[in-house]
Amino acid sequence: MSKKKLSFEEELARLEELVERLESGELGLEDSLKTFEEGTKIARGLVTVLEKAQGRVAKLTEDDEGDFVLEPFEPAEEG
Amino acid sequence: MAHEPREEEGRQVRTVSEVTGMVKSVLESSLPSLWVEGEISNFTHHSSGHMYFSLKDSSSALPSLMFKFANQKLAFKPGNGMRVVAQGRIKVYEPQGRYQLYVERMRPSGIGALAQAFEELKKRLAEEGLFDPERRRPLPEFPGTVAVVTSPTGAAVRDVIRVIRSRAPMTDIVVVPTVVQGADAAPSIVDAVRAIDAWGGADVAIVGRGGGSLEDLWAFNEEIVARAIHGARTPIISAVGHEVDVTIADFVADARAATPSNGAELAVRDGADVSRRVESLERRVLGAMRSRLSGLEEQVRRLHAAYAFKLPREIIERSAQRVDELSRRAGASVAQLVAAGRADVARYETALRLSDPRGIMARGYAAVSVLPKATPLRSIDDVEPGAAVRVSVADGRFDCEVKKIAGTHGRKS
Repeated sequence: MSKKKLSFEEELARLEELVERLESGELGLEDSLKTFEEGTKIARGLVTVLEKAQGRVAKLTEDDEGDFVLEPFEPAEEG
Repeated sequence: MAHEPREEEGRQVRTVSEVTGMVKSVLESSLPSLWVEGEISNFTHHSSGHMYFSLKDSSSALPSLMFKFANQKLAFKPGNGMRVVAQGRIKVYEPQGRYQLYVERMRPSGIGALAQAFEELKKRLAEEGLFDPERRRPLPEFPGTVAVVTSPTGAAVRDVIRVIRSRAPMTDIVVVPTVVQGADAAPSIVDAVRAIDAWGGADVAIVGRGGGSLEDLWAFNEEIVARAIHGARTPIISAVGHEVDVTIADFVADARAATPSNGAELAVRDGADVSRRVESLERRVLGAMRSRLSGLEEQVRRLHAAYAFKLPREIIERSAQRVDELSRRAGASVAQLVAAGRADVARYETALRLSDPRGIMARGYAAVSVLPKATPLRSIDDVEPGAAVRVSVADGRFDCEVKKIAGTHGRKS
């Protein structure tokens, strides 16, 4: 469940690394293009996650066998 | 019963042990764990470490004892006349035929006593090192899942969900329903914190509740809660009550929030800030690619100037600006951006190939420049008879003197 957002963190770190490599000017032309392509793709992906992804709200309970169960959770209305 | 009841004069006669056993069985099976409020009297702290006392009110007294293993965890020093709330079981002590309360947990009752208990526990845990700042774990930067240990029906859970939803909508939220007030609160919070660790799916947990009286918030001042938070593997944000409320949980947690909403703010970064950061990185990617391409353009220009070969002009002028233009349009896909970049690179490579004079010279052409400055010779107007010129061919060069000049149509202009 937490996998998706840990990878958000990793992807952001990867993007920062790519930007620095690209800005160093030390890459050959073909590597620059590849880095540019990967960087742009990651940036677009991150923006999509930020804008469109909707997390779940669940309730953690233990069943009779001691296994954890996630059930949808809706907070009670104000009142 | 160990043996058959004896009959005497038609009546059943029992032993003392039998009767005591019957009382014990009735009493202990019908009275679950109890919370009792009363005043301590006849208090003795025996050399064995156990405590013996009575709990009394205006009309009754209840013999009580608290074993060493239990009273070692007390957050205060009990004494005669002190009002307390004790939790324990009624058991029958057979040798004396008396029932007594076996106290498992006990806390002072009333505000003054609570404040005193708070200070004593705080001091003890601080000495033990539970509040040391260096043992605090950093909170994750982008938690995928935030656990919320609180009442599923209170305002706190609504506040936390609302704040996380608005700041970081992609975050998963897992509520761990917990009792946050009264006698069952502390063990319930402890269970919840342990459950989060055992489940292992949360990157950070907010533990808290909304505002209330000191007694309402008391569970967050209990030692078992402090130790559970201290021992948790999942980083914990303590978020109890209002800004002014300080609990022991605040001191042991990895981060202290003023309120549950503030706890949510500490747990997740504001998505708008993150968006800005990502956008700035994307601009830097584009900027770096553009400057790489302008470097290439510059290289082409220099070669062009140096050798004075005619290049298809539009090749040079279609510059890396294409990448920028595309990226400015919101709809530009990664594929389009990369295609634009590739097209520009291909153009420059063509230009470079064309501007490299060696290929042309190898086919029998020569480059001529006017001496002494080796100015590229473009027109018959650049020379006069007798001028010195340098002729470059594929494998070298030689200097000559101009003898006769003729225009393409046989006329010197």
